[in-house]
Amino acid sequence: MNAVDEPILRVSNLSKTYAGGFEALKDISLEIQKGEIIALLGPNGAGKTTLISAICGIVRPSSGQVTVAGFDIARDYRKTRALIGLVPQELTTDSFESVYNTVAFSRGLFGRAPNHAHLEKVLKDLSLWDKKDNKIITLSGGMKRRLLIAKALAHEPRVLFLDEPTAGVDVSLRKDMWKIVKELRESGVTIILTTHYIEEAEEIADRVGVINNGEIILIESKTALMQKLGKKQLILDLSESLSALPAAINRHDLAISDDGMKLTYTFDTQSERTGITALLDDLKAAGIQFRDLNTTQSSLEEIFVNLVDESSEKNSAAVNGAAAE
Amino acid sequence: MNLHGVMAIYRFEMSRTRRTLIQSIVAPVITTSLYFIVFGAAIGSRIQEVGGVSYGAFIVPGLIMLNLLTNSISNASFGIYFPKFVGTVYELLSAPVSTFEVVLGYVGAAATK
Repeated sequence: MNAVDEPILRVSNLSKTYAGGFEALKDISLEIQKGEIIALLGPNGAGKTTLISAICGIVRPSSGQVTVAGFDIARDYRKTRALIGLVPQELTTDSFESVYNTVAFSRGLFGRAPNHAHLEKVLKDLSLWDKKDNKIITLSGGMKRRLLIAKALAHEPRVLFLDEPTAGVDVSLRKDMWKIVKELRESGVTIILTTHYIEEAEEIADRVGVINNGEIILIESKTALMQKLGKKQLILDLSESLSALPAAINRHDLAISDDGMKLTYTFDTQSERTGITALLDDLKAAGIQFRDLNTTQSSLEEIFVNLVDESSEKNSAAVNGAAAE
Repeated sequence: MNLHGVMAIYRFEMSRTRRTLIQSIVAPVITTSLYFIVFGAAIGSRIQEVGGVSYGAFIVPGLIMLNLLTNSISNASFGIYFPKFVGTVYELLSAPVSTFEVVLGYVGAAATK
């Protein structure tokens, strides 16, 4: 493998068990290519922050290996950490320091020589330049959030972690933030973000990963998810119960409910021919009457909730099974 | 060796020192004077000599050293403990600095103070 297709971030079989015995991460493997934007979704306590903390060196992994641009995070921690910028979930700031000083501190801490021009650019991009001499304690919540981003960008990282950057941020600021994220991507920065806003993950990310109970349930490109999203169901309420489907309409791949009163037809909205007209014609020809019809569409949110529920059920089943043995 | 990192910690701590100059110098001076006045009024007048030195020569250097030591220790430890308490320590933990460099930065600043 040459340097070009070496993923910027490779996580292999990463596990983390806290001292209390809580398994926050279970055997996570993940590869992220340079310049990607990847969104990690998951319910509270799924392990998103632990995963990020393990990669950044805040949490020590129990087992497994992580490499950033080919360097191991434990052995070459100076190289990997200098490449990473982290925006934490909590608004933690040195309240009494001035904006400019704290950003300059971050740059120095990550081993870069002072560069006034770069800091000025970062602060101006995040509209914080006019506040540069203010104490952080005087800033609003949204400004503090931007300040944390400025701190993470101060040392020109190649990989940026955003841990729920839009939590508690108003709509216009959120839009600004996504604009910044897009600009960063254009400059070649790889971005990994966690969020609860599914539509935003959909709008901004190239790939979406879903984490629950410390496991990656799914990691797929957004287009693949959009195809799942494109599925629609047509539900027909019949006037009379059907015991079995007549042969004439069998070719449509219909599902019939247990009481024979409902027919469900699943189709892809993205395709040119949905087959609805043909289905309705065949139903008429077969003499099947229906009282009502409605269509439902699975949103990414539903897909997400289903995935999380499924994995939780599987887990509790496994636990029950283990207890029974 | 991440010298920029050491310097960043050092400068950060020194800027905190400048910010807290009044509380670290004026406040101890006032407490020391109060100690001196109160103790002096209460028991000073009854003690002529302690171990061969006069009461004033005994109590003043003692009080000054007491305050000096307490202040230098609390000031230095505050700079390390407070980030841990409020959570800003994440940055130090995720930075490419070794334990030695962190200690060098903090202790260097504490010693300068």
